[in-house]
Amino acid sequence: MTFSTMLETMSAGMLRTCGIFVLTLIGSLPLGLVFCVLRKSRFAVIRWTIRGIISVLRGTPLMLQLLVWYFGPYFLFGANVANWRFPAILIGFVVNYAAYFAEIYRGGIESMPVGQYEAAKVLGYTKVQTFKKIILPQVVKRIMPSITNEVITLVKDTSLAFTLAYQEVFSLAKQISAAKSSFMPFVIAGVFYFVANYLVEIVMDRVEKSMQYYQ
Amino acid sequence: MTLLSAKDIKKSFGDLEVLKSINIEVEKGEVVSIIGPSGSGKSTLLRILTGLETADSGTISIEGSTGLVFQQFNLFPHWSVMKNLVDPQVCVAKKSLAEAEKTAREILAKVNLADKENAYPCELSGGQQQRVAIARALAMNPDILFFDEPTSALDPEITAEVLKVIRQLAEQKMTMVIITHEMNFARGISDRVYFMENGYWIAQGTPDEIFENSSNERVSNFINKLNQMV
Repeated sequence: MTFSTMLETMSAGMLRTCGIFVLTLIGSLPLGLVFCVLRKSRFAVIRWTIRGIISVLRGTPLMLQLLVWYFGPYFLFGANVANWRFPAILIGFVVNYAAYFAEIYRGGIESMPVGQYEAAKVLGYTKVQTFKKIILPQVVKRIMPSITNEVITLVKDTSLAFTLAYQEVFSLAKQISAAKSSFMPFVIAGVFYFVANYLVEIVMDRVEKSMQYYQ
Repeated sequence: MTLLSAKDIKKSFGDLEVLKSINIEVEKGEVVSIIGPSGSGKSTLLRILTGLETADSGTISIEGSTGLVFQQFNLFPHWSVMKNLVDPQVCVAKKSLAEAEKTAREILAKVNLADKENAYPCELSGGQQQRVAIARALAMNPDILFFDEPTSALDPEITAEVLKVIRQLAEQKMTMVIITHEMNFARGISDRVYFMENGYWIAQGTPDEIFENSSNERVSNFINKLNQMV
């Protein structure tokens, strides 16, 4: 197997890895905000439920969670899981990352000086307007470094999809390496993850710089 | 015409009685100063009158709208000076953008910051920020403007530029209630002065009555002490 065919075979896996990455962010960034808002709900039942959920999601391995999402429907309800692989992976990643993002948002929101809320209230902004227009934009700036951390971790965590035999770049690297007795697939996978994260760093750096016009 | 009338206001935080039966009335066009030692309940009263806190008991009636200028300015740092003034007008008062910008420019000129409309709060000095905060409150066209120690976070030199703006407002017959530790300022600007200690008014009257010949020993001591400091 030549290097170029190896690369070609693996490029399909890279695409799948990117798919998990992008869809997870699209799902978990907003879901994290929902978790965060519910965690501050005035109803104790909702607050404690969400706290419990976040606690479990952060307290157990993502690999284990993926297995539960995939096999759970079968063992619990005898459901047919034939086309369930990719949805299970996505749900697993989205929900898990939402838990982390929720806590990052909470930290950011709680770091806001109370004077911002008071100024908004005295001027007549509603609570929703205050949150959307005044609090959230400032929170985003404050939490960007922590978000970058999570995004970089996510790039690498996509490899956990191999647990469910999903043909992303890490699974393919393992398979090709075993079949062809070659070390090269691991090198390719390593370079791929590194380059992907290098791009993440560049993009996030730009995003942070775009918010540096104020302190 | 009485714009503000509060009767028998009481407020406790836990076991601490911060306000013990406070009455206050403010007439249209009047400037009222509230003085007294820190922790006496002045800020709590202002926070109740502006709706940031609720009183445990008592009645408050206010004709028209209120504005508040904070000790720490509390500008919105992610917005330019212009946006700080315009957004509340558009978003809350439902004015058109053009109208809001026109009002904002007029008021910025009044507080001598016409050249700063595109600046961000972090680019301004404390005195400039406080003048923007005053402008932001004015842009909402309040009937009464409250000030909570507007110069306490500023150094003496910069304090003057903020006090000058407040004096101008007084000349234009803006109704104002001002908590301050600037005794000369309070004396010069006020129609009436209230002195608070331990959640009570222990004296009230014209500036002359309070500052010149207060029969109340506590009041004259407090004022003498402040004068000695200067």
